[in-house]
Amino acid sequence: MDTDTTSFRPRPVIPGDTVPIPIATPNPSAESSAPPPVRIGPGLHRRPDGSVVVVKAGVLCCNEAKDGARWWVESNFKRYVPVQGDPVVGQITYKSADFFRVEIGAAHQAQLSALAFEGATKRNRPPLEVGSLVYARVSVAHRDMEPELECVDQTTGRAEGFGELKGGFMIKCSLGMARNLLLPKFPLLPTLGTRFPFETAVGVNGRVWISAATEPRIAAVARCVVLADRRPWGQVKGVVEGVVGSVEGV
Amino acid sequence: MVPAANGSAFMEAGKIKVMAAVYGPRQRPASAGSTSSSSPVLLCDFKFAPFASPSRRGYLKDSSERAASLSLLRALEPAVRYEALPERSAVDVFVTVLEEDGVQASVASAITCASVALADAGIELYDLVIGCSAAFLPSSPDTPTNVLLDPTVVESTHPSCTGSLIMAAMPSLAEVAHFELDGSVSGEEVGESIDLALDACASLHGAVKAVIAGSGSGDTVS
Repeated sequence: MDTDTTSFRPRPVIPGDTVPIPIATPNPSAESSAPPPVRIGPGLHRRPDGSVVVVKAGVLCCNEAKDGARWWVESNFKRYVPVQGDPVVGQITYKSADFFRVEIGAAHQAQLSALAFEGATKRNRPPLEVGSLVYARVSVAHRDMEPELECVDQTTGRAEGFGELKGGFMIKCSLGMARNLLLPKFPLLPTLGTRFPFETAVGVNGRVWISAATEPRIAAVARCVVLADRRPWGQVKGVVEGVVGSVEGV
Repeated sequence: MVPAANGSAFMEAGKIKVMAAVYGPRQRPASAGSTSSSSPVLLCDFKFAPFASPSRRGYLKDSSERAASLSLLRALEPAVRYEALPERSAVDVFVTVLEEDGVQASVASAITCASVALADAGIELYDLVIGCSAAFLPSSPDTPTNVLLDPTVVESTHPSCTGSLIMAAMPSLAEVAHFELDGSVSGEEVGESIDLALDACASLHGAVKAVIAGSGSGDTVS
């Protein structure tokens, strides 16, 4: 089958599907002699015989760039895999003199050093208790180790918005929904923001912390996030209008 | 299907109704000794619901359910990419048969349903594992044995049934993940049944693929 990446359209794939990624052959008349590299992304696996197979169900995407094509599988799951640099919302499950253990919904609980806070010293520890919520960044994420978090930017020494989340309420959503909520163009939070003020912290681990002046408002935001999960973007505004219209005291 | 699970699937095949839920990869509880290896582990649990059969089953696993759990594990293991799972983690697969129609056919459907649930949970798989069952039944004592695919409980427990098999195949890789044969059957009959079962797995794979590709989440196969 002729594979022309310029006419490639994203298509749903399941584990076991082979991907006809063209291995570029060097063209003697081209300017550079080396073929552009093809990058294999998440959800794809290269077999020893060179063929590429899908390992995660989702939508196969391809991005043609001058420095080579990128192929990956776009999927939406619930289980979070820690990646360095991700902002996450977690709950403290254990407290010791030097560190906290934080549940972030990954395969292992994460470690948060008691010194990884703005202005923290050995004598001045953050006042976090078991059960507290924190907004932190993943500083170390490796398959063979427990992930580590930090609530401070190492270069500036400032919190940059991370730290304890006081009050409010945390809900869980799918990873794709969390990624959408972090996009400025996604209509859910801005639409709610025109109705009443509230505060959210969105973790890419599928957890959203919501805080507002009254409980009905917190419940309205939570309901919108839950109902809009896995729905197309076009339906999100309608969902928000429906929820806000039905919640009293908003 | 199961909101609390990371991945789930529901499947109907004739009268058989199977539900699978996958949790993980999550932290494996640390065993007492450090001798347990740190590699990731797949744990399979197969259970008939007490109301699944015409006569009530107990809520504790009996020997056939423990054997079916082992068959499920053997069938799913070749497809799971263990390199992608974190160290010292476990993936739990729980399969419940809500209505059964013969043990072999129920286990075969459980295998298919469990691999769809694994895909729904985002566990990296080399391929989907499709299960298929067959029974060896002569239509009368003198005629050669027929191979009946997807036998019902009447067919698989018939007095003149000489054997039954469960086949789990990975159609895209053209490999057999698990094969178990029970009974007294000749070599030619086994060969014929393997070819038929592989064809059945391939066509069921096409149907399962169409459902997964069409749905966003909460896969339902019927």
